[in-house]
Amino acid sequence: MNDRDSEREAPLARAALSPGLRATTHAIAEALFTTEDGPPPEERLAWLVDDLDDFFVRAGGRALFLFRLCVVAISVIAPLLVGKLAPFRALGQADRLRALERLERSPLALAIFGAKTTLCILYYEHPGAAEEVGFDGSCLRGEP
Amino acid sequence: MNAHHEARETPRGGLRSGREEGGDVELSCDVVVVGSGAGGAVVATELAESGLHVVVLEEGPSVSGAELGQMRPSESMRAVWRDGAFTFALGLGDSPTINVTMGRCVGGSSVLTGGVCFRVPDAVLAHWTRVLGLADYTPEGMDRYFSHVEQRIHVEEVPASMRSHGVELFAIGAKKRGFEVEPMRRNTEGCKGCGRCNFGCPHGAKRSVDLSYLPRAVDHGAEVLSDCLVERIVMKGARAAGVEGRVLDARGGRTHALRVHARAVVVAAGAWHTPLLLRRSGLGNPEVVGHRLTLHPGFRVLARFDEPVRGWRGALQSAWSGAFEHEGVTLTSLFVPPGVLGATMPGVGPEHTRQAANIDHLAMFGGIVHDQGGGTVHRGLGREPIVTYRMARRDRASVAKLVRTMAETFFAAGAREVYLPILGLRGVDADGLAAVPLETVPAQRLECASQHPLGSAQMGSTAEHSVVDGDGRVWGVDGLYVADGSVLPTSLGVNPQLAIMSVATRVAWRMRERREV
Ligand SMILES: Cc1cc2nc3c(=O)[nH]c(=O)nc-3n(C[C@H](O)[C@H](O)[C@H](O)COP(=O)(O)OP(=O)(O)OC[C@H]3O[C@@H](n4cnc5c(N)ncnc54)[C@H](O)[C@@H]3O)c2cc1C
Ligand code: SF4
Repeated sequence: MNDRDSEREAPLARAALSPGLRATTHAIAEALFTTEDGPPPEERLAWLVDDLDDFFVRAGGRALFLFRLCVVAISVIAPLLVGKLAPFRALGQADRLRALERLERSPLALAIFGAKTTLCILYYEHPGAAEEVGFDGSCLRGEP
Repeated sequence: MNAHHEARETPRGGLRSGREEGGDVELSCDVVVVGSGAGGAVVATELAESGLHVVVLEEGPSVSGAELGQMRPSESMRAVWRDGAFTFALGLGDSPTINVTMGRCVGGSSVLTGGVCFRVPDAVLAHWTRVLGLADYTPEGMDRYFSHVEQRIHVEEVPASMRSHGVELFAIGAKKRGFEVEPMRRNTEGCKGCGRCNFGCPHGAKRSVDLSYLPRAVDHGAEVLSDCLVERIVMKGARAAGVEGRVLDARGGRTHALRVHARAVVVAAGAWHTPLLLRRSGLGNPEVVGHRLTLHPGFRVLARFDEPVRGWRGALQSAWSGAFEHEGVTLTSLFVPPGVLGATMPGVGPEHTRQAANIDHLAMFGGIVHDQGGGTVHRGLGREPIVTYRMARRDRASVAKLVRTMAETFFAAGAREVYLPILGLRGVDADGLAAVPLETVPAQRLECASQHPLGSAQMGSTAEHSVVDGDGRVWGVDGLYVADGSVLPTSLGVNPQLAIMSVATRVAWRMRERREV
């Protein structure tokens, strides 16, 4: 392995997501991926938020800036759509779901689409999530 | 010329990171090429093969196919897609905001293609020659460039056996509706049909320019430096004399100074960045540089079938149809990884996850609008541009036709439900489709993507209306050329890599024929 390989594989030290952004992202993901049986396993959500952090460490500040804009819009505007003044992560699960649904149908749908796309791309790469949706493409899982 | 800077002990040549120099980088060469994508790699290779000493500077990293193959799609996005794919053209007026993706690595966007190859359609060339005065751009005049590139990148027809089941279903629907899908041509050799092309081919089967061109350039003495950002073209009087910039660290931060002296400069930074570099250097007709960007705005329709489809099994792009070219649209097969599919499933919570659980029953087809342009590349605050796009009325009308055609074709093939590219809209059945106001839905609710930014430093026959002449020479500046997607003077209506590579070949050959370097 040469210097460049080791640089790429080693985790880049600094975290991209602030604690507040991590918490709100966790709350959005928990609502988004809740099934009829309840929220996804906590281990999977923790993996998702860590992987998202790595994504932005590597993809760079502009990508993070746009993601943050989406999350801030969700955090502030979505609760208003269900008549709440609290930030998104302070809402109960039922309100979170209603708030995200309303935002998705509103003219600000782009905000939730931006966050949802990023979260989905990463979430469905988790082996457990991929299996649940019947995905069996080994090359697309990054298997050699 | 070929004199290397004194500070360097032995000329090493080859492909390396600018960081390996361990300090400021200063080189001299005959031609410096900015960008190593479809345009830059081709122009560099052709010039190196003709005996010139060429230096290629690439902002992104060098990542091999084997390395990419071990990454998950999102890991590939963080490694070699610009800004992790968070790149947008802001929609103005009745235009969607468009996610415009591109590569940032040795090989540029060529590393991420589906491999689709089209010659420039004759009707488009007729417009270039007759209306724009680019007299040499006839089908006969371009044939030798197309043929040369096709041979180098191994363009072949995708056999029907490599179609995914989703594409087979679309073809059945097309037949029922009275049109055919045709086999795609791709630059592949030994394709295994694993459907991973957009994240880098792990099998070396896609002949992207990092495999088909740059190794030849290196064999002929070219130096390809990754992690080297060019910030300015250096002038000596009215002549381009080199470039300046910075070596980038692993996070993309600017570190050591970079300076390359050259007898000629070829800018091939892609349609997003070439106009930016020209503007920063105060070069090129300011009335035209950065304007008239076209994007081929793309839309997809997903369809749910009762039977399992597993659309990821098969060549990523295997079939297309030009049956609706008169409506300004081209249909092309495509597929995306499960995460992206999941993202397009509307709703949240149980509603979303219930639908996502059906992704193995989804087929997908896409289409692009042969757009008139309306994009502008503006200087942003940092390193990246701000890009706006105002869709022409005719193109906006084409979107509705495109989406409806794809949806009706899937219903003809027996689909239960389709998912249209409208944010927040639930799946609709055949009756529901008629009720969707595709013509009037607010553009900001349209989900739109583009992989084909073109035309932001157009070629033409007069300095007044274009940035470069038909040979890629920037009007009014000696020794400065552009050879990438930004020179194409109109959109094509088909995927552009073969066109870009052929025009870049022409730029290189004309430089040599004219003995300009
Ligand atoms: C996901 C995806 C799929 C695609 N699929 C197809 C397909 O199937 N068929 C097809 O025909 N086309 C396809 N395309 C489009 C095709 O890849 C591009 O049109 C083509 O590669 C553009 O060539 P280019 O030389 O203009 O730019 P690029 O290939 O993008 O190369 C530009 C390079 O310049 C570098 N650069 C930019 N600024 C600087 C700077 N200041 N200093 C140094 N380096 C710089 C960039 O990092 C980049 O590597 C696809 C594109 C994408 C993103
Ligand atoms: S489908 Fe073919 S060209 Fe694409 S990644 Fe797989 S082997 Fe490579």
